[in-house]
Amino acid sequence: MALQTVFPDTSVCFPISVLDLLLRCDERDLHRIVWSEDLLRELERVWVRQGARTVGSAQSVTAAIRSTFPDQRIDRDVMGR
Amino acid sequence: MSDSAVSEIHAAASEHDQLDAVRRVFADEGASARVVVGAEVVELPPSLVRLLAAGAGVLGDGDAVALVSEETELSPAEAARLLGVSRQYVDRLVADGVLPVRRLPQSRYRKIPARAVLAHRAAKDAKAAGIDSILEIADEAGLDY
Repeated sequence: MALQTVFPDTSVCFPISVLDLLLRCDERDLHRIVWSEDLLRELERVWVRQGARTVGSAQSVTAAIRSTFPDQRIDRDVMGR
Repeated sequence: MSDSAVSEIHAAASEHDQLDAVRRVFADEGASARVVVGAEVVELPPSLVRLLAAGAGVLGDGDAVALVSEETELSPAEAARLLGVSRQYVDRLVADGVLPVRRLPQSRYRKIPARAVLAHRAAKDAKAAGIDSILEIADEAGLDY
């Protein structure tokens, strides 16, 4: 049995406590989060709407996600879009 | 642990000052050391000096050191001990394909490469630190928790 793979919707990445829970569950091997560039770009837009100080500050959060989960990126064609 | 695949070393509280002294003298990169045993004097190779310095640091901080060869194979119980989780959790990691396992022929015993266990632990530690930094940056960005 493989770990369940989770592609989160941007709506569950705010407030940050929910994102925290999702990421910690990945760290504890309860599921495997995957992300795409499209998801992170959408997240930046959502976070700016939700009160991030600047576009740059929202981008620094997604940059940290990229560097923490480098092997969990999936490409657009994998998702069949 | 009774099995010899993993040797755990603990320091007594009374050794703290000595460990501090060892850590201090080995603080310099490239420090050399000679050991005197009876009439024999042996020069320690740099790898062993680094091992001593690292060990003194960990023991001095009050943690235990687990010495395990990367080539060793561990039982699920030993892997659990090394990861700081239960054996049942290791069983799940094996079932989920997170940790590789070698089944011994005609036996229900299973062996897990120490290299894979150590790599898993290092990856988890790095991920935990990465998540900490994501949350810190999100906080600095002004996002509500």
